[in-house]
Formats: sequence, structure tokens, C-alpha cells
Amino acid sequence: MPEAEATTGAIAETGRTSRLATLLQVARARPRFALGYVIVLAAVLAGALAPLVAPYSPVEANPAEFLQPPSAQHWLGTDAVGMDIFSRVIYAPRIDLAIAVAGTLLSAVVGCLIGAWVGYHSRGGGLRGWLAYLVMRAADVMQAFPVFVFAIALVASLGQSVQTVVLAIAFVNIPIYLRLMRSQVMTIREMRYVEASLVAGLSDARTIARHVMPNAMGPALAQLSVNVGWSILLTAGLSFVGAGVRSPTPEWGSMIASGFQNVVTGEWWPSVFPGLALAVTVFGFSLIGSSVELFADPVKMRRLTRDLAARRRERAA
Amino acid sequence: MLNSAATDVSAANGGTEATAAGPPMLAVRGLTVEFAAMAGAAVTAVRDFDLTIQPGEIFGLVGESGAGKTTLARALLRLPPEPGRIAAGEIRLAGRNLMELNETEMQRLRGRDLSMIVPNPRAELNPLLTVGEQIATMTRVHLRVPSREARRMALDMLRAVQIPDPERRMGAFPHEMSGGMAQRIVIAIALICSPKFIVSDDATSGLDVTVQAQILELLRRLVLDRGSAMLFITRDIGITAHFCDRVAVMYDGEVMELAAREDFFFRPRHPYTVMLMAAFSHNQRLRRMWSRPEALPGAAEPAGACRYVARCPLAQDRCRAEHPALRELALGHFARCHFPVRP
Repeated sequence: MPEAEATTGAIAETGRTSRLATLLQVARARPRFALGYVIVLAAVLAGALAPLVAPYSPVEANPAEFLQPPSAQHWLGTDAVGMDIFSRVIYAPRIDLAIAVAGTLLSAVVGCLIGAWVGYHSRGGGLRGWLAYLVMRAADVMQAFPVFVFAIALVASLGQSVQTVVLAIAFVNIPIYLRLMRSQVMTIREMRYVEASLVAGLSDARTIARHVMPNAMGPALAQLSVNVGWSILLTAGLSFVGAGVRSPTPEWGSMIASGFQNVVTGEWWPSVFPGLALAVTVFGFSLIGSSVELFADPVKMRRLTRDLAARRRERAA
Repeated sequence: MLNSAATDVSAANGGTEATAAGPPMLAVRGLTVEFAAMAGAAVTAVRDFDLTIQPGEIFGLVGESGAGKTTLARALLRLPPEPGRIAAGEIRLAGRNLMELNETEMQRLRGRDLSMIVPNPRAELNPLLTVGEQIATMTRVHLRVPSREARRMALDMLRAVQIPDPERRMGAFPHEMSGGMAQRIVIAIALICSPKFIVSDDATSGLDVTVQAQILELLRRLVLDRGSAMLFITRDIGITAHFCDRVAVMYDGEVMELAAREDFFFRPRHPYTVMLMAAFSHNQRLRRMWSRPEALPGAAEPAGACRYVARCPLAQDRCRAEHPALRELALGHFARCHFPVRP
């Protein structure tokens, strides 16, 4: 995830020692974080290089070889219509990651903008204050509604397509960013430099854009990576219940769904392998998320670097 | 908004208006700033405030914390601290009535014609932007100069505020600067558009005395070179003695005494002024004589009393019954007291 890495780079301000060196040190001390990046990188590479790596077409059925168990020929076996599971599993990130990333980014952009506006006007009275209040109550309603039912309803009403799934994911995630940004902005707007900006004759819009937003972005950026993980899960979930991407497009959720009936009769591979891929990828994203959290917390970060330095001294002695 | 404007102009206009040629740089009439309180009754932070400042003049305004200094400063830019609002009054900048401008016109004015130097400089700078960028923004926004020109002007301004190694400092972030350095940056931001009028709100608090002296000297030169005028608000009465042409003392939202510098320091007339000066002296007897430390400022005065009555060692019955007006006791020397101290 390039944006997640950019975040950690920007936030991990640990003095003059090289940031890269600190990153490498932390990676060695906390291997699980490194694992997160490796997993996600692997998923991205799999999607990118799938045409070169995949031994079969991910969408062509070969009815003669249906439900083959894993073998040298079909590494992860074939499904009920004879499509190669391995090829489909490595093609799937193209859809799953793309939808999740696009949905998350869309929700982040929209949520942050609205959240910034709401936070900026929350304390004020008048029409704007009232509108800000309304927006927050609307967000309450959105969050109180079961995510899944909501997404299904949206897909049902807008029709079944990749864009609709992206939209559904963006929609259910907006309140998260809206709230994050609002609470941050409410703190930041009390900062003296925001006042100073108004005193210096900058307009509200310019003050928000130049002084409030950049200083309030941190937590929202940290949220991105975890959120991509959830969004993958939601994408797969939607496809699983048939509201997402249609078969035969290679997608983990729909693969799990279509292999589901076969599990009962003992052919476990059409469901289990895409399920594993899904679980591992989501796990990777949440690892990255917690690493971002660490980098963003200067106190924890300082404690960690201090421990590392102490350990190095010990070893030297 | 304009009701109190024309009624009593002559009472407290600072006395110099008659001799000046053009309109005064800043003329404030009857400015009142109120804060809506929880309980219902509004708290008035600035009461019926009058002030006239001429071009080239540096006007000192002294007061303790809570006197309404910052509220006044912010109200002059029509940005009173929330939830305060300007309840009445008129503010004229070089003859132009600011209360009649809309918000967009005010934005254009702030930072360009009417600037404020803010206290606590490091908190006033955005930690994520370089100081060069923050200075350049001002000219880009207000004077509409292209980016490169804005950077060049910012660099010149850094030189003007005597920042060592200005080329390198353009790219520095606020946390890399000392307090004195950050204060210079804040001054640069306030002055880069050559404003007509500058409000300095406690600009030198929290600085070393040596740095403070440098900054004051710098400020004076910049203000006079550009033909501006300045309202210098401070809690340190000592600074005004060296730095300001005229000095006023503010207490609980009102001017208590106003005079030219020599008059003010050699012949103070208001008990509050005398108390402030006595507080500086090392003479225990003098200090005890003029202050009543047991009384708290802003204690509930009966309506219509002198605001200073609870702390005043000279208070008499009349002070509790009648709110004194600001009277001219000598040419250009005003005091708000029924029983002014003899010079």
C-alpha cells in the first residue's frame, strides 16, 4: 500500500537519525509488522503479475476437469465448472484490492471533507451549526444501520456492478472518516495558528485547507490501511451473498460462495483456498494498520527506539 | 451599531486630533464587546471604548490579565474571541468605517491594512508549513503577487526582521526556531504587506529581556519606516515607558488614564496607575499604600460604581454611587476618577 507507507514515513519523525534506519530497526524488532507489509506486497504483486504467473485462464471453464483435487497440474485444484483455483486466487486481488482501495479512498476523501466542515462549524450556532448537527445525526443513522443490509440494499437499488460495490463500500465507511476528522478538527480549530490565520485575513475555506486539514489528517491516514482490510472483507462478503461481483470474474468472496456446496460433499478446496487468501490479506492490512499506529505514537516510538538502543549497547558490552 | 457613534466625540479622543492634518489612522468610538454568559446576563469585556491613534504614533495600552486587552485587540479586527460579539461602537481605519464592511471586505483588510502581531509565537505558526511559506502566503493572498515574487518578498522580510541566514531559514519549520526567532517570523507575517495599522498583542511576553529590547527596536523602526501606526498592548508597564508615544491604562474594559508618555509616568493621576507603578518599585511602604491585595479584580461592583472601587485605597462614597467619566485634567491628559491623585 503506497499511501500507508507514505503515512508512516511522514509520521515517523524521530529526530535527525535516518528515518529509513529507524524503520529497518523497528522492522527487525517487531517482525510481525514487516510480515504485514510482506503479505500486502505479495497480494499486490500477485494481482499485478497474475497474467504471467497463472498457468490457466481465470475465467475459462474446462468441464472435463471439474472438481479436481490439488495436484501438480492444478496446484489448488479446480472448481465445479473446472476453472483453475490457483489462477483464480491470484487474479482475484485485481478485483478485491481495487474495489477495497477505491472504496476506502473515496470514503476517506468525502468523509474527511465533510468531517472537516462539520468540525469547523460544530461549535458555532446559526444555520451552519444546525446543519453540522444534522450531518452528525445522519451519520448516526448510517452507522446504526447494519452495514451489510445497507450495502445489499444499495447494490439492489443501483444494480450489480463493480462501481456499485465501490460506492456501497465508500458509503458505509464515510461516517468513520467523518467522525475522526470532526473530532480532530474540533481540537485543531482551537489552535492559535488557526486564529492567527483568520486574523491575518485568510478566508475560512483557505484556513481549513491550509491549516486545519493538514494538521488533522493523521488519524484518518492511520485508519486507511485497517479500513482497506475491512473493505476487502466487505467486498468478499457482498459477493458471497450474491450482491457483489458476479461469477465468473475471479473474486475471493464469490469463489467461496460457489465452492460452498461442494464442501459438504468433501471437496473442500474450491472454498478453502480463496478463504485463506482473503484471511491472510486482511490480516496483513491490519498488521500494517497497527504499525502505522505505532509510528504515529511518538511516546511508544521513543520507548521502542530507546529499548532498541539499550539492547544494542548490551550486546556490544 | 452606529447609535453611539456621533454623540460624544470630543470627550476622549486623545486630544491630538485637532492638530493632525488628515483623519487619524485609527479612531474607535464607543466600542463595546459582550460575552453571552451561561446565566443569561452578558459579561461586558470592553465598555464604551474610545481611542484615537495618529499616523506614526505608537500607542501603549497597559492592563492586567482580564482587563480586556486581547478582546479589544481582536475586536479591532472584528474578530472578537468566541463567543464574544461587538455590541456597539465604530472603528475607523484611516477614515473608513470598518463596521460597515462585509466579511469579505474585512478579510481583504485583515493582514493587509490592519495587522495583528500575536502573542506566544510558536503556537501561532502552523507546525506543518515552513516559515518561508507562511510569510509568502500573505503577499500571495493579499497582494496577489506570483509565487516567486512572494518568496522573494518573504526573503527580504526575513532580512528586515534580522533573522540570521535567511535563505536557509526560509525552509525551516516552526519547531526548529527559538521563541525570539519565531516572534520575528510572526512580526514578518504581520508587516509584510505594509499595513496601515498594527495591533501588537503582548508581542514580547515570554522573551528574554535582551531579545525583547531588540524586537521592540525592530518593531519601532519597521512601523515608522512604513508610516504605519501601532497599538502596543502589554501587561508590562515598564516597556511602554521606553517605547510608546502615548500610554493608556485599561482596567475592566475601560480606559482609566491616558496621557503622553512623560505626563503619564511623571504625573500619574489615577490611583490604579499609581498602584501599577508602585508595584514596580522596591519600596514596601509605597506598594502597601497603593494596593489592596485582598480585593479581587472584577469583583461584583454595584452598577453605576467606579469599576476600580473595590481595590482603590482612596475610594469614597461618591465612587460607589457614581461611575466617573474620563475627564481631561490637563492638556491631553485624561483620567477616569472622581478624586484624581495630585501631580
